[in-house]
Amino acid sequence: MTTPFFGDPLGLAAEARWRESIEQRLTNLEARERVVVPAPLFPRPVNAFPSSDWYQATTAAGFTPLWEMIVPRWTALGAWVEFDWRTGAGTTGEVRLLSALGNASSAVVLGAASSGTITFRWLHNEDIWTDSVLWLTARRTGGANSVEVAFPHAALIPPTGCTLAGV
Amino acid sequence: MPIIPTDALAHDAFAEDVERRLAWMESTRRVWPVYNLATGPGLGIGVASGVAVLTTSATFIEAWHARFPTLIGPAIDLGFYVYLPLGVQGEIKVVLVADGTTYESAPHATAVGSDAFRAITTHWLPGAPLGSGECRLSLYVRRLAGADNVQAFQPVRFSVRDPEGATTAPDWLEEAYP
Repeated sequence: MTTPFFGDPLGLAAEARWRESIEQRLTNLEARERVVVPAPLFPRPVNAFPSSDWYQATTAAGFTPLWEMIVPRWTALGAWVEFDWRTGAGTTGEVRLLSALGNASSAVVLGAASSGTITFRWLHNEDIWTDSVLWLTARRTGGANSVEVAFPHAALIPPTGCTLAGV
Repeated sequence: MPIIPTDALAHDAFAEDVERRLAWMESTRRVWPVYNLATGPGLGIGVASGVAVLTTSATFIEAWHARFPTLIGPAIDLGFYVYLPLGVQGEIKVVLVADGTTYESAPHATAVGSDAFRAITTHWLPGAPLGSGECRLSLYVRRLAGADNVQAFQPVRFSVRDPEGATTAPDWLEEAYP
């Protein structure tokens, strides 16, 4: 550990090696305890229960919260949200994340009569440990059919790889 | 940052204390928190009554799945109910896709149904490296025998957790419910 020996009478080299090993073990522990907490979003009570394949729909022209996560405390600076979406014939839309404190990600455009998967890695820009609400919102920007967003998978994650835009 | 004592005796005592506390942290299960994952329905599968996937398929279908950004524990803990009509037998398996690599559990054939619920659990060690990015964890179901649907209910437990008691095969536990 720190015992001096011939050639290292003050034990400085041994001390340095010991410190290095301690640093490495701490790094390993931190890696295992990285703050990634799966945190589900649920349908908003004002909306109908999701359809049989768990899509929430909107035809509103303004951004409408379709899925909601109550955040008792932000335990991480980033939010990871991944979900499937689909639009009806001739119908276009947009989705974005919005918090109760008014912060929002960039909007992602949804093409007409299509489907896909979107992954947000969003820096929510709110103080750690504050309480908030996270909404996955959508709106229709054209056409007469619905914009639909499936049950989102979500987690609170470290800020690495996250941006204020989120995408 | 603690102040490192400079006199030799106090220094060695401090170093031993650091070693002991680190060893405890490394060995204890507390470094493996249990995270319950929210599950949604599988690919293109209709869900009856909001909570059960029904299938008569002879090939495996993805009944339920969860997605998460990184693998934060070495083992998967699954608990769910299956309803088996008279004469219906099902088979289930768990599949983890982590960073594009697929890890698949050994399948489990259920008892032949008697119009009753069965409770099924397993604790599986898929062998995927910790920290793997973008994961999709799925419960697959198929019908082995019978004429009616196998009904796989939304898992009540689909967790990422510590390896304690987990096996790579894995061991499946099936019981009558209630």
